[in-house]
Amino acid sequence: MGKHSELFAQTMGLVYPIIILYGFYIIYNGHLTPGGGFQGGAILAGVFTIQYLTTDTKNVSLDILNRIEKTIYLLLLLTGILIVFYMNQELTLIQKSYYLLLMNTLIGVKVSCGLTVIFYRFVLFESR
Amino acid sequence: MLNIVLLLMIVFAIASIQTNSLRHAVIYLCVFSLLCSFAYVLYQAPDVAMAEAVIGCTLSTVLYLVAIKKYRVFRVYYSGHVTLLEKQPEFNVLKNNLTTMMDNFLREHELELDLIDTKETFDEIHGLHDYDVIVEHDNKGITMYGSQSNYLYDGLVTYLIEHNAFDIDYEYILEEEGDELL
Repeated sequence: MGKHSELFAQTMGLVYPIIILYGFYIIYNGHLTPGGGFQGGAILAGVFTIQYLTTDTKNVSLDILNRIEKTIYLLLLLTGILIVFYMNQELTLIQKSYYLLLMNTLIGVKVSCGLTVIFYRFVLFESR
Repeated sequence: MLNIVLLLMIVFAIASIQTNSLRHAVIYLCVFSLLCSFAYVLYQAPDVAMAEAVIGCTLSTVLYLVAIKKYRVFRVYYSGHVTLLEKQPEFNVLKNNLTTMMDNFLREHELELDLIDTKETFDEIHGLHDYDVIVEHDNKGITMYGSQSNYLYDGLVTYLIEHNAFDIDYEYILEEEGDELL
């Protein structure tokens, strides 16, 4: 967005890691506390938005992000189908929580990739 | 507590519709979204509140602001073909006056004037280029064209009528439905 205020950039540089940590925390505790993959992923995508506001990056590879998102979507489906149809009966409670953690992480990464792609696609390409 | 939040939500929703500046509307919408997520918390739905807070306050606000930023250039095609010699000096004076007036108007609306001088006729510009307003200046006088869906054109016309005594014909271009949005 044109010129950047030094103050804004410095402050956001400090807040950055905290937001990332918060996003991962929400994903990690998704099955115990409010939140989960989608919310955590959206917070992680907010980090990319802030990065655009502070540094005006233009060299984000949308292609790679797109590919990551698709792969993870496939993985997500496969994990769900595999667990539900083949191993659902013999899982203990702790194993189930690991399964939820895995699913939440996959959803989180997928959502953050997707929202980032939407955002940068709009910012960099769409114009009159 | 819940009633206060709900009332404030109504207040900010109305404020975002009624304000004149688009930026203010976006910020009011952001506050509305934040209050909305607080209301979700009060309704015992922290999960939804979190999603609403992140998406409503961060992502959509920034997207709206970027969209406004992208719309900040106002493109005016100035097509002048005055052939009569005795009208040449008058042409320059009129043109300078008109562009200054337009510049002032657009500055009030936080926009930038992008003036393009051309020899093309109205039909060529209309068919080939993206434009907001076309000004055609020939031997007979000045004619101004703008599309009906452009809400700034009405404002520009009233501003010009209020502030000066130019002799300008104002025309509206009717667009075929649904082509500009694609």
